[in-house]
Amino acid sequence: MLAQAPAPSAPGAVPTPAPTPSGPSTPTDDFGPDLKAWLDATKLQDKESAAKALLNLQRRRAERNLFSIDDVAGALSGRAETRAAEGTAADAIDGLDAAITFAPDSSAYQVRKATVEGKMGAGWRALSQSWANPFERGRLRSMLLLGLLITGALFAAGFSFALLLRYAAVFSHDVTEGLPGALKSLALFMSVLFLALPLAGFMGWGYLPFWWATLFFIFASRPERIVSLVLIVGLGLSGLALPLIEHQRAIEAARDARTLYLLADGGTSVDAEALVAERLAKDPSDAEWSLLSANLSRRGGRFDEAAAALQPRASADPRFDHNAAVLEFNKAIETNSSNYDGARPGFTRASESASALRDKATALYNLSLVEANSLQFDPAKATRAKGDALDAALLARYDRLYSFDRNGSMLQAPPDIVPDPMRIVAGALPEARFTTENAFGRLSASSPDSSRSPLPRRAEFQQAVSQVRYNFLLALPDPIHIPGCLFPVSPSLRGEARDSAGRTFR
Amino acid sequence: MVKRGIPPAARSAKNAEISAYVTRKALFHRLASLAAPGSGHLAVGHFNFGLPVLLAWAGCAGAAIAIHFLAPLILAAQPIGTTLKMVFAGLAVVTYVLAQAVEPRAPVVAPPPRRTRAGADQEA
Repeated sequence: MLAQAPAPSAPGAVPTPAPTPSGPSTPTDDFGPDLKAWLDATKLQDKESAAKALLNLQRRRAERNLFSIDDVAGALSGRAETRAAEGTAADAIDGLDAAITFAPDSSAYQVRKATVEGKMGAGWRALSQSWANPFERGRLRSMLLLGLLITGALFAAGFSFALLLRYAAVFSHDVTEGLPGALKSLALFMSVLFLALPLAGFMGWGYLPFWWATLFFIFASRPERIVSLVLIVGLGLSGLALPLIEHQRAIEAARDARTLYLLADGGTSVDAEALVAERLAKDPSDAEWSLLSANLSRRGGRFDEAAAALQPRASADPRFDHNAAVLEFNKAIETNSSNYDGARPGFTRASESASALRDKATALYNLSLVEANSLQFDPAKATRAKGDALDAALLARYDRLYSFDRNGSMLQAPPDIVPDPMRIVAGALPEARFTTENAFGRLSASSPDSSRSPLPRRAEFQQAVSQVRYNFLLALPDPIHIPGCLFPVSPSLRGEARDSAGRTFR
Repeated sequence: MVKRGIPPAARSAKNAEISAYVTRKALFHRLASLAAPGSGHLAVGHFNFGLPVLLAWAGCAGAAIAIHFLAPLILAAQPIGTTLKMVFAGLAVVTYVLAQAVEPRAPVVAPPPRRTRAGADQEA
């Protein structure tokens, strides 16, 4: 391991051999002993032992380059919430702080902390941070869209009912006037039939407000006409909103996408490693997935396996070159050899030829660590300044996440270059596409969502009129599907999930 | 030529009919306001009051429903979720009560200008 500032090596320090487990392991397996020590210490209210266990967890996390360890964070948060329920809120906050440290991108733990503290500002900060997570952002956007649809439905119902009260008598009078003398007795029936035409056509009650707004358009005043037009245009646009909401439901159901995002964002899991292995078996030449596979080997503590994956591509791709240098750097530190020449060329080449700014900044960061450990302080500062100019936030994140205490010295672990998360997740996410089926063909009998309609439909009648509906109402979505989307809200849409034991958690 | 008035029975029947119509109309407007605050005012043409009230009520009620039933944990948890829900629900109740308290008033239509003798002479 490396010292960001020169730190004297402890005289009694024993080099830690690299663990070489035979197969993939879960973070909980690797972090289990220290996690158990923390749980026992908090149970016994032994703050000193708890702090020591947390330092060990942090050291192991930094050595493995793990950005996010959701399992560990979940265990810490669960114990903290139990303590909060027991009435010791101050102790719970410490645990929640630790949970946030181990899963910095998951705003759920920040929200829990805000709940325990009762602080509004912390809650807002967590909410604003959640927009950076594509899954959380999708959930919030979906909820906003649904809220807008509910508001629109309430407003349209109230406004159209007012129009009905105001103009129904005039309309009925006009119908009576328009009928020939022999048919005037049918005037009331004809008026009611016109007003309830969507129901008579088995289109659904959801059309009534918009039908009334259309029917009374010629009687309405100018402001009423403007509002009616806005409502009708809004109805047309809602045809585009509903597929977006359903697409979010598909994303929630895509478990592989969530796992791969966690993986690409610095986490690890056995399931995800199996996914990566499967993907690599299909296309062994894929550089992104090969890089991710090597990252996973290091995160799992399998350094030899990582080196074997990186070396063959090191000359062709600066990212592989860089990550191989990181392993060299690790070896130099663990053996206290102070020989950093094996790592320096790889970092230098990557800092010059990497294509992404983020990768260049990472290489400059690691090069500055090498220079600092070689007691070249001025070049180290200059290199760090170059890296800050490229991506200061990223380097600050490295400082925060990969620093740890060993034998009284603050050390800094070198971060890997990782592939772009969205390139890894892209294939696992269902593709959003507007088609005549999901956006404009919601009235057709072949619509897969017809089963969710709250109104009973007769299949034979539907078959007969479907073509007519399709021709005349092509541009209108079916508002009766809106309640169908609302009420069977899946647990995943509400941010809930189930673990393998069937327990529900949020 | 003897000018005859409307028979008392017919006048009384007409008055009763008008009274029933006004009562029925007021009842409909009250029911409309109870169902969707602001719609009763819109129904008599009280647009400047009815539209903002209906819009505010629909927006606040929609937001409260969405937060209660649909919001993910990040928004539904305390203290943000509870506070937002109470604020929106409170505003919805305020607009509801306001719509019941303010009586719908039909817009006053100005009577047509009365023709004077001088004006009639000019036209001639």
